[in-house]
Amino acid sequence: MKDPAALVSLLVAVVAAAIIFFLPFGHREKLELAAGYALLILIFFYGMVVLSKMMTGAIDLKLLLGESGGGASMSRFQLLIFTFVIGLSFFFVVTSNTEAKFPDIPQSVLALLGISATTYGVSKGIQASSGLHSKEAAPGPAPTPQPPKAPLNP
Amino acid sequence: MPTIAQLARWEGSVLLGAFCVTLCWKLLTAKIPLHELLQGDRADGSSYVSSGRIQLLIVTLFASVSYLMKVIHDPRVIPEIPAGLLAALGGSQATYLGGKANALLGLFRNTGQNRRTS
Repeated sequence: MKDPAALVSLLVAVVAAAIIFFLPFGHREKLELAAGYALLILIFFYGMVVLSKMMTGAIDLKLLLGESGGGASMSRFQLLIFTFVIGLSFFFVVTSNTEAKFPDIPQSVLALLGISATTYGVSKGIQASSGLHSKEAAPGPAPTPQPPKAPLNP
Repeated sequence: MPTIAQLARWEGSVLLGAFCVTLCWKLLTAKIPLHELLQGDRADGSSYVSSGRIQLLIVTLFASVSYLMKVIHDPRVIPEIPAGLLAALGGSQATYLGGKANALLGLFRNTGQNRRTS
């Protein structure tokens, strides 16, 4: 693990789990609490590390919506929007329900994501075909003349 | 001390919110470029403002906003998407892909003609 931020987050999670082990609870409760808090801390810090790298440009998002020929891709843009919308909706629904259960995902939502992802895939296929085709059609670079080989010394 | 459920709720809100804000900020400041988002390609390599892409953008934004409004209105269940909206979306996608495929076919045709004439 080369990233110091990831190491610090792991350390904080371990310390939190260790503190919980000294609290006056039963063994099973302590284990559940320690694992839960440690996981939450880890996920939060890892998320923050990814976020900070996105903000500083260490994770480059310039080509997130880019097509192979340059310019932004409509299918990628749509998939990004739908992913966030469905993700946010799912989070709202989970946090609004008091009972701890995984909510049912309707078939229509799966169909929406499926349509969007299929478009993205087909679009990539078309781009790849056009790229291959233009490579085939374009005349290759003229071969550079090789200098005559020097005769071998007897 | 907050419970695990409370902590998970805060954490999820902060992380998801921060990811959304970061992406919006990058889109608005053109760090994630959106140029040529609405431009389609012709077979000869030139580009034009594509009505199929504009339609797809409008349908996408409309579907997203209406879905989010539904969730905010009743956040207990994940709402269904009306069949009509799915059909509109599928139609828009088909138009968009059709335009792209048409440009590709045109490219094939042009290359074939160039080869025959040369």
